[in-house]
Amino acid sequence: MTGLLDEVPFEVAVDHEGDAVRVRVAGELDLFREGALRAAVTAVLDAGDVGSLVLDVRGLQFLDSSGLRALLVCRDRTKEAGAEFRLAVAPGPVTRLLAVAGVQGWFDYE
Amino acid sequence: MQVMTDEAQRLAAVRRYQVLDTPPDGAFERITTLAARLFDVPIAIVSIVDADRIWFKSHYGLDVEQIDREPGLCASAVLQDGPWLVDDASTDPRTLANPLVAGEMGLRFYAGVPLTTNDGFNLGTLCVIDQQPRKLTDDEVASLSDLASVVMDQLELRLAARRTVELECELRRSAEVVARTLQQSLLPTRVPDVDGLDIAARYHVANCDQVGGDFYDVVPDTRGGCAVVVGDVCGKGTLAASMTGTVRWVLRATVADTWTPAGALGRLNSVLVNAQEDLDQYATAALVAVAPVRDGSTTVTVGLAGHPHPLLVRSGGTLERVGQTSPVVGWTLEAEYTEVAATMRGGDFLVLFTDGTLEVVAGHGATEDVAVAALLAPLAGRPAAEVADALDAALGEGVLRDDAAFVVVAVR
Repeated sequence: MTGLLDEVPFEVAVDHEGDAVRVRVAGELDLFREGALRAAVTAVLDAGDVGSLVLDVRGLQFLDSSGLRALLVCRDRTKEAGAEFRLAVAPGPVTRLLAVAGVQGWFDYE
Repeated sequence: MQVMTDEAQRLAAVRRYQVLDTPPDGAFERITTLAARLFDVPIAIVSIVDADRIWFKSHYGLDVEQIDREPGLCASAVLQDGPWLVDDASTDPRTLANPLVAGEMGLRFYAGVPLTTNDGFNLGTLCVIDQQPRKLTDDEVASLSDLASVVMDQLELRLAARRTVELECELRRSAEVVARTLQQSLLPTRVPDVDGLDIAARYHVANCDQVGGDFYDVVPDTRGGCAVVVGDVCGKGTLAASMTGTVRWVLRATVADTWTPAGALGRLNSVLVNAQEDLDQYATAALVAVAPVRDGSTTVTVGLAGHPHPLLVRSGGTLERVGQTSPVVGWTLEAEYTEVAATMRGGDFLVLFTDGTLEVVAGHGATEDVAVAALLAPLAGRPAAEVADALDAALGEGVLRDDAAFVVVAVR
């Protein structure tokens, strides 16, 4: 499996600006990588002092159902932590899947 | 240790270690080299005593890979409980007539320690040999015995590694069997016959040792029609499989005399939300009520829970997307479900599929509607099996990244 994963780009980056956090995720978000995104967001929230979290998924080229689950989990955990959650999207695979899944209305957008 | 002397059992042990005729191995070469240096002898050997030969796993200072069991001294050494020492073979009554001693080889000194397995069988020896008579001190005999234990450790290690690999293969095989069995339990064994309808369903597995999250079902109802569902549980493996089972059985239980796709999805949603606690799983489904109408037409009522639209291909070759998207099931009780009805007539067919199917048929990034329309439109009016075959072929050409399932419902 490692070989396959190595070939597919995936990246999570976290930027802090005061209590505003921006988590950028790029590449392909699927069953094998969604754990890394969830872990990154959990770590940010556990560190505390988060007023708002923007999950920037404009760099995602692919998203499967597990990837969408990760977006939903990040939204729920952030709200449970008392912070605002917004999604930064661009038309593409993410907006398509959000539309098919009927969950666009579940997110606030940047 | 009590040494077992039954030769048949000893040979079985030799076979079990699978060491005979294996290629040279650095670990054993190092041990014989070390033994030769340590005891200042020209020859050191790791031997394995086979039925009719003595095979050398490592042979320092001797350019021979095996000798006959007679007259080899190792054959005598493996019959011993401990070290077998011959200080001067030319005067020792046990060896003086041995051709290795009396002949060209001129062997005078032999010290061999049996390689004894955990269960007490001597596989062979670690032995040191000289053409001069010698006498080992007790300390040296102890060192030779220690080295023999190192040889045995290496043999045990290799056996354990081989067993681990075999076990791993076995586990993998059984995991695949479990996955396949589980998968099959989540799909109907056969598509039921429903009057006036021609139904075909197919399932493609992307990864054979993992249970996929896709499923489909066709359930006849008491109104002469049936419920058709194609769905996808996010994730894979047993967690996904258990949710798939729940979805299937809740839907089966719900599809009775009076049911609607929107009502059934709402009920399914609340069951899943309440049942799964913190599992963070959701499912998508296209659920269709297929009902015969008195005028000979068929009404299909489509409920969509976060799932791609079914496509209705008219006998004339036009395509319609049927349904209105509602959210996925299993995430929140706030989700609401709607349904949309369409009328089908003879020669029309409806295709329900999972995302994985669309993705492959359309190709990555392509406009799905266009690609799928191009594939399906020419099949207008054809039997369900023929439509399914065409989709199968398209799936066969593409790269299956996800599982793929679809059901074709044609009106006769």
